Amino acid sequence: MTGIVVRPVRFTDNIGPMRAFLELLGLVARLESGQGAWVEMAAAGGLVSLHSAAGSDTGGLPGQTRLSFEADDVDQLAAVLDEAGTPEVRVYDEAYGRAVTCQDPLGDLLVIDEAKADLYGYRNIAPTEPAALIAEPLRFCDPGGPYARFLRALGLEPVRTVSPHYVKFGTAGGDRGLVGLQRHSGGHPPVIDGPAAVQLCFESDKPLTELANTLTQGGFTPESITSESGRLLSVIDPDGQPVQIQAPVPGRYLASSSV
Amino acid sequence: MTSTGDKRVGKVQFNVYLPPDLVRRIKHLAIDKGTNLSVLVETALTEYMTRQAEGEQ
Repeated sequence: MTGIVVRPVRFTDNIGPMRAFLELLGLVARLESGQGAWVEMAAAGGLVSLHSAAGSDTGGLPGQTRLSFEADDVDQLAAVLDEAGTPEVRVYDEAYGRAVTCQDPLGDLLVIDEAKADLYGYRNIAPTEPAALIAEPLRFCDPGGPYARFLRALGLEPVRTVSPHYVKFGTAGGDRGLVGLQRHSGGHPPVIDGPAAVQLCFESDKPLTELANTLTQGGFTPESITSESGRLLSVIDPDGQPVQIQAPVPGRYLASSSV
Repeated sequence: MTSTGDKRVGKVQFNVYLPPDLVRRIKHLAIDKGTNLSVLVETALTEYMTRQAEGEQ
């Protein structure tokens, strides 16, 4: 067990509008930097971080979302990744804390931050209960290939096989978020190219019609779609990127609402 | 690394042992200055080396 939480990072020039958009979906802000260049939003399962694209040291482009995680102990995680034969495992310090990077099976650099022990320069936001929503970034690759083994090394097991082309990975209960591996067919996947690119996706316990009304009232134009994963909403976020919200699934993962 | 614009490209990792309190103060200073830790340490070391070189002249 590596004590890991799924926490995709969205690089954006629209932190305020993106935060308001995610709040419409039911996420709640739990931490923000004093300069407002970083906001951490909690779902009942998993997190989403908003990072100023202008302040990115790693070339983050506006609208780009990268797969990332938060870990309890990056030294322990680095040892686990080394043991699994993961290339380029490095632990380093940053002003905001510590992190481990590694190369994922698609050859991209993946960053996993240690949960912050020192909140200097950050503001803890009075916690409110997030909606019953699970963050599930979608990484477009073969769910039966090496990425599945990589996620297992991180402590995420397959929790639902939607189809041979789409498998969800997470921990029991889903309260640490999910990662969807989906083989994309036809055209370019709906992501901005870059390291560890993912599409923002969520599973919601809220009826999709209710969520669609909320989004419409918020000025968005959700579209109801039926896909192999069932009914879902697709909506363009303030960065112009498509976000998926999937309907509740049978055999719910979400056992508790703690992150 | 597929991203352009990554400011770490061309740099190497440099591991040293420092007192925890100094590490904490350096990290806090980087946050106060709105810069990242590597840039701050690079600036500090460069300034120190420059002063040392000037002192030798």
